[in-house]
Amino acid sequence: MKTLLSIAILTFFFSTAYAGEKLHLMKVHGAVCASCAYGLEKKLKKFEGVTGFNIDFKAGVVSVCTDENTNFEKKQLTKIFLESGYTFKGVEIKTACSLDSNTANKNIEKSPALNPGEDVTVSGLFNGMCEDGEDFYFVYKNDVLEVILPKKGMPENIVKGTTLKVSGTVVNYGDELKIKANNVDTQ
Amino acid sequence: MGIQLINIENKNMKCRFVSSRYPSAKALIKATLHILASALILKATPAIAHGPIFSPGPETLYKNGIEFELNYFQSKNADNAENEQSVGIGYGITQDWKISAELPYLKINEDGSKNRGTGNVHLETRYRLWRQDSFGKQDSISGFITAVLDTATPALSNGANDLVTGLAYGQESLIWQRWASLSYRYNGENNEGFKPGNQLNADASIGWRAEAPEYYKSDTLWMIELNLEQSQNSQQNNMSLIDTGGTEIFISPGVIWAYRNIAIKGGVQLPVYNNLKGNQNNADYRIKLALDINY
Repeated sequence: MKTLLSIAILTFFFSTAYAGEKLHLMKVHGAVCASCAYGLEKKLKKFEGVTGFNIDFKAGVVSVCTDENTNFEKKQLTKIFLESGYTFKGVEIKTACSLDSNTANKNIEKSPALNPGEDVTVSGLFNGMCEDGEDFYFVYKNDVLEVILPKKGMPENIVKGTTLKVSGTVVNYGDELKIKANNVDTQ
Repeated sequence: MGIQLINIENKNMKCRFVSSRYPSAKALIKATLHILASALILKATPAIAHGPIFSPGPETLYKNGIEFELNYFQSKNADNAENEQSVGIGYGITQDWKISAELPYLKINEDGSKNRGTGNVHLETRYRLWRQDSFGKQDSISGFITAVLDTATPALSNGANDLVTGLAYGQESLIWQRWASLSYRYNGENNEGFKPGNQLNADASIGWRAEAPEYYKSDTLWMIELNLEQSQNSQQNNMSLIDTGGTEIFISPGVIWAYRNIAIKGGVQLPVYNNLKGNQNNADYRIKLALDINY
């Protein structure tokens, strides 16, 4: 009985996913050091309902866990990020909350250096466009996925506004991330 | 009264100047201390967050943020050692506008004699004039004005208020950082007619970390600075002191260790070029350590 109780307590304290919570993935530009991001944590944690904060500098994503009733307005977030010295670029909300170190990387996973030729997985809102060509390409910029694909056809289940998860190879990585896609999933 | 040539020598420096008055030996020793103290204060620019260690950076503080600093600075020059400990506080009025104050405590060992006491209070206002954020990168330019108030212990007092103004540029990314700054210090003249030489500073720095930072892990940033200091001759009653002023260039390796809102910085300045006027001792080294905490 004691063992079961211990497991239950440990599970409660060490679980990183909480039912009934939301994960707000906020895209940020200009965040490059941990000591500078403290102001952002401080300001976001002032909101009632905020239960956790993390920032993935490589992905440029701030992860905030809240209870299911907490919502942020884009105007609010723009102001908070501005007053912290950064630029807010968009938010995506997920239903399960986890602040594992790779949580923010759910937007851009794998490939620490994102060098050309490396594998990468990206998720984001899809804003489609068509071009002539043989391969599918995805461009990830400002929290939006743009797909460049052959005019011959686009999968029917991929429509504008869909959240996609795209795996592929990095073509280039500068102001934007361009991927040659080899797998696309809807989420 | 005729023009007189006066020579005062000590191990630290020689002052020879032409004056229409006879300053007392005490006044001249005091003038020497003024130069040392003002030079020390100038070199010990406040350590702020993640910018360079020996030169100003463009960083400000988030709105309503408060920053505490503890600094230690040491300078060695032949047989003379100068030490400064200071405590500072900063406040972010907006994300682009920061004000700060710093109170130093100085200890100067010169020629076997020791002088110690509080130094001049520094009041600074810093405004970020331009900022551009992009993915994993931030560029910014700030302007700053620092008033160095004549509040020091009499033995260390400059006897006048000074003003430092300048511009600082920074480009920070996840791995590489680059900074550059240009500043000018205007030194006031005290009641005895003594005025330390104004100084122009130009700095360029590069920072590097082995991998992109993670928020809940400590972050170590290595940096190297190149610091140019060009001083005019000090003056007594508008007459130039010939063994004062000149140019020095330092190379300054340093490191910043940070964990969220706490940063520890340390660096050493090593002279690589000296062209000091007249008979002056070159700097041997300068060391700086700082602890910053933001709330």
